[in-house]
Amino acid sequence: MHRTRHAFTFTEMMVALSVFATVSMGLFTFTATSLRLVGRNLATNHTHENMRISDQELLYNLHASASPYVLITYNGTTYADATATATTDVDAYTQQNISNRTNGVRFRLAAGGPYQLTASTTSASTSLTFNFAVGSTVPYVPEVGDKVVLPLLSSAFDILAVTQTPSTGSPTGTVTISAPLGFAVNTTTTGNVTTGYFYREVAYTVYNNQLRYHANYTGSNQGNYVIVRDDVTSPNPFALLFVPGAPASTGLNLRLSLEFYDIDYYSARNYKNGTVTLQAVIPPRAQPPDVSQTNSM
Amino acid sequence: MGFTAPERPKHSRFRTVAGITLPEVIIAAAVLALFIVASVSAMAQINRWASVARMRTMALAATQQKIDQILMTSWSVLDPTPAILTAGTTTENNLPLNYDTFNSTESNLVSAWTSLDTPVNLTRVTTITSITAHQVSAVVTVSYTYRGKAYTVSMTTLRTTDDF
Repeated sequence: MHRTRHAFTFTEMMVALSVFATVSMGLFTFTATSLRLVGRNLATNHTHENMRISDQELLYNLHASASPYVLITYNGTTYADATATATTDVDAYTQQNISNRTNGVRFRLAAGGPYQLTASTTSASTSLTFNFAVGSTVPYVPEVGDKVVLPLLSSAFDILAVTQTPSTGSPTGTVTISAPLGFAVNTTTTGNVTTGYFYREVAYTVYNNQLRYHANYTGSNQGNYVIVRDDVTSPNPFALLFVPGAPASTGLNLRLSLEFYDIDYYSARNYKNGTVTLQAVIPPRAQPPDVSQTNSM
Repeated sequence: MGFTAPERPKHSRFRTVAGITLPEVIIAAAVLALFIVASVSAMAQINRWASVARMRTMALAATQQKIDQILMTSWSVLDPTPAILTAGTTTENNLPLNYDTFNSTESNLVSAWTSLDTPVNLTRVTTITSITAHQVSAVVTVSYTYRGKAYTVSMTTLRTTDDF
């Protein structure tokens, strides 16, 4: 135990403290900077992901639209159609006039078909019977509010009632249409094949910072939706385009202006967070669309 | 009866431990500093890549918009070729890439975070080449400069008349 132990000198202490303080300050700054950079990176990637997935989803469904677009509004309680009116704002990408902006748009997507008409009709018939089987399944079940289009007749009808609901065990279904068919269709003669396509109304809305998809925007189903993405901060991102001077929009060019923001990383330190606005003009890919009437039920 | 105490081990727990010299500390600090600088640089670079990727998505949307316009413009074989499908090159300058001017000027469109990022403009060049009387090819190129570096996105498509 008789070992000589020297104490630290004051100079040694000062040097050691200085080194410790410098290293500590460096590590603290490094940590703070790293947190800020990582936060910023997460914010950028979050907004990017929101924008990219929203864009892909919107492109997919809007390109597939089978009808002109109709602007709608949602105020937290009520969904309502909005009349598109041209403003003096000019879209930079198309040089067309932008309509009033809304927080929703509705249109129709192909829901089922072609399905074969299985019962002959007269011109006064308002009841159509189809075989809805696809192999051993029934992937589409008609609902009130859907439209049926008969390409042979170049006619579209609203479905007012489903009097016989198809099922896997009994794939034959019967629907009541909104007007007499206008043609006698013979389905019994060998070789006669008359088909119908079915279209369902869908919608996108933006509310409560959410981009929402309404897979069935019909009647009481309007309020059912899935959230496509959140952190959408544009209050009214949807508009239609007007050819300059035209009194009405064709409803075939939907203008989007979706702003995405990553709220999670916002702080009083004014860290610059991820904000970005996606602009796009998306037309239906099939023109003229299969369903020309834009009425909703 | 004698008692002999056991010999103390030569290497006791109180062995002499050498301290860290100042040069060692300085070298260690330098290594740490290099690590910090490299880490911060790497994170900053990753952030730049993230922003560039986000810009690229918007540039793709701008390119896609023109492709859609080219594909969906009505073109009957009986009618003159629409202007947008006429052979030649069209250049559109100063189109907004990551912002919407109206969103920051109209009260019903603005949000609390509108225009937080620096606006970037793009130039869009569309080149239509006639293949036959009823078919054209189109190349749409969007270019923009972001943080001093030029970027380009390009798409190509073919278009025929709606009828024959």
